[in-house]
Amino acid sequence: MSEAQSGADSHEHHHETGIDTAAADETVALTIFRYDPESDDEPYYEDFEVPIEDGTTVLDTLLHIRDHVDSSLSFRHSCRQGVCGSDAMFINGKQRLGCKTQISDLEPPVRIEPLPGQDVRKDLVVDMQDFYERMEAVEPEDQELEAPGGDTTYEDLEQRKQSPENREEIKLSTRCIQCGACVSSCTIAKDPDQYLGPAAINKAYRFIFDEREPDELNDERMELVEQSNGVWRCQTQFSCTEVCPKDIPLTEHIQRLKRESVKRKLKFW
Amino acid sequence: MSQSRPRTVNTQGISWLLHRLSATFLIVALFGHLLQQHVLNHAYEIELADSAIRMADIGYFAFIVVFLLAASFHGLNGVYQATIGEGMSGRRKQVIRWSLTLIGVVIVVQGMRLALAMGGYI
Repeated sequence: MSEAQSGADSHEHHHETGIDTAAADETVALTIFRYDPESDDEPYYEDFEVPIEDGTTVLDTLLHIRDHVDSSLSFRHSCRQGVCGSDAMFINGKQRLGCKTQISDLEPPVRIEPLPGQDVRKDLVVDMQDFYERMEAVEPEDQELEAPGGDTTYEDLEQRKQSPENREEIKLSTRCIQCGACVSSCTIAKDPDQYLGPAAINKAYRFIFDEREPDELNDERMELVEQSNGVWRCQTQFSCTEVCPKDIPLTEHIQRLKRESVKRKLKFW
Repeated sequence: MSQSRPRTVNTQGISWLLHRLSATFLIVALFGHLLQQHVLNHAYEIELADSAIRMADIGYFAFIVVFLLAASFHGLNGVYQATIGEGMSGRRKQVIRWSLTLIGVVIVVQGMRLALAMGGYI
């Protein structure tokens, strides 16, 4: 077991790690997944004991280990406030954001692993390429981005105004920070050719039900999500909804897209 | 923008809709059956002759035919969707699809034969 360093040296860094080791009077046991494909034959788990105080998050403990105990520990992080979506991990058996998860809410020893379902690059860092490809797969091919200014007139801008009701309708879907927790939690989405996954479908939902989007683009988005590897593969397990750190009702959005697809296909003569 | 993922043909919408419609019908039908046969008209013994008498009624016969179709589709489509959910694809998926279709045809044909015979229609 590696012991976290304490004392003046670590105290100097408390602004960086978020843990004031001099003030911390408790510690927490962490069990962290370690794997470096370049040097390790197979993954292993390493135990750490880290000082904590009120408000210490999982990300704080990882930063503490990296800065004071083992600088080789790899993990992604950026904003530290649940906005960037970089630090989604498998913490005590559930997909969560490291920066939003308080140590005090977890049962020790806290087990920290990379997101299941994705290839591990190193330690807690997973390959997100597949996830981003899924997100791009619901983009219409002939989408043209309008340059700001140019030929856009005031009347054009008026036509693109969004009603408050429509804003409410799609508000939750716009919260997605593309952390990948939902796709990792979905048992069906393990194979991307079988199922696009909840994040990509939620992205399509966000535009399809946005009244400002042109019909042609949304028709193409609808075609993309109603393929056999689209919305139909959702088995309403609600695992994506359960783990979403932004509380997006992903399963409900997918079901609404199923209904919308059928409604568009139904014709009554 | 990447479109590297293969697009697949949408044949799922109608299956999804029929699965839910058949489920709704089956729930109502089973509830009605239990109410009718086990609460309102409780039979001391379940006899083939009683079933044959009911089947001779054209309304009951039509209900049983719809029940047979709905139950067969719902059950077999459920198995099929579950196999896809488990990652079945390609040739194996096609084999399962046509095997389940064949099973469905056998069930419906045999069920119809039985219903017609019991109702005295053949």
